Amino acid sequence: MSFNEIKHYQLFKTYIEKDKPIDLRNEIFIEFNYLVDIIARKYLNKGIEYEDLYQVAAIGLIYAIERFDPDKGFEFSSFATPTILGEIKRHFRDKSWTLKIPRRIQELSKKIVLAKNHLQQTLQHTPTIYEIAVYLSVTEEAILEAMEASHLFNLKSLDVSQEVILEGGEYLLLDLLGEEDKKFQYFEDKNFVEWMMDRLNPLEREIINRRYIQNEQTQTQVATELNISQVAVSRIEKKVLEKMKLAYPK
Amino acid sequence: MKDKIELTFPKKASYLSVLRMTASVISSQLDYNIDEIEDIKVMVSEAGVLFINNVPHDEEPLRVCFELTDTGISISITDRNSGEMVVDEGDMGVMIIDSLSDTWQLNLSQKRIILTKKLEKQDNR
Repeated sequence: MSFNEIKHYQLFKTYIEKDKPIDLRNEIFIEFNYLVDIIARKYLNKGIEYEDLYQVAAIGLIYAIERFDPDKGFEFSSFATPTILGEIKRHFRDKSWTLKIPRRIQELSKKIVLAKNHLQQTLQHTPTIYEIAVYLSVTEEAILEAMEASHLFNLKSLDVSQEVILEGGEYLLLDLLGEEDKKFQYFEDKNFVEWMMDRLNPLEREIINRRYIQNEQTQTQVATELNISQVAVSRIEKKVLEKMKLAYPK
Repeated sequence: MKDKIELTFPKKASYLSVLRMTASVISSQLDYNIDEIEDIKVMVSEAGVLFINNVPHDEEPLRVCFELTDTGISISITDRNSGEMVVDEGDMGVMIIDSLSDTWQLNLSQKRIILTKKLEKQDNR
């Protein structure tokens, strides 16, 4: 045993003999704190902030200290590493999916990544969906579903700036999003209204024109100016609007 | 079902409201909705106005005949007064009737107008 190993062995021995006092645990913690940092860094840029990873890993280290038995004959670092890793993985599993996805799919999507790497080696080409499905003995649909879901691992902020190399300069992701061209709908609607107006009788056209297109008069105003009753205006207007609704392209 | 109701009304504007009310009560025998009954009221009174404005004499009453069937209502209004009936092209009343009725026939020599309004199927509403 090296000097360090003896020192660590002694440390744990006293810790257990003294019935695990907190100040001694803190001492051990500081001694192995470097493990936390190393392991947490391995999971950087996967959707969880470093500070959060560090916290989770530190809790993992405390668990490891609590459970470690120096008489089993292993180095503490080799015992603590899988414990800390496990804690981080658990955190990823529970917390990092922005949208909650059924566990079956979460797990499958992880298996797919592994299977893809494995099959790439053994088959010497990028595996097809079918090959992955056979390898994992699930249906092709399930594979596709899980692949789709894995994109939801985290959501991109619309305010993320995106380098667009072609045009130079920076754009926000938000700026690159497509949006429906409202003008198209406007012209289609305009077209439709004109088409519809051609098919109305002169009185109907007059009423719609006065009520909606030219000057948004009230029914009473229209009725007075055309010298008909307000009820007739109301009835005809309603009728025409219903006709339009029926004729409007879905 | 084929029910027929024949009535006569004095040919005076003041009785048009009676004609309207009568038309609404009769058409409510069928399953028209409120909007359709309003349509019928308006088109019946417009037809009445048509005769009052365009046939000069008013001694004889207007003869109104309602026919109710399972598919809808048909209303004919006849003016038996003497005199020629002339209706302008683009007469407001005619256009209102054209908008609100399903079919309409105006016979100038007989001085009769026949209006129909179909009964829409309930489940299409």
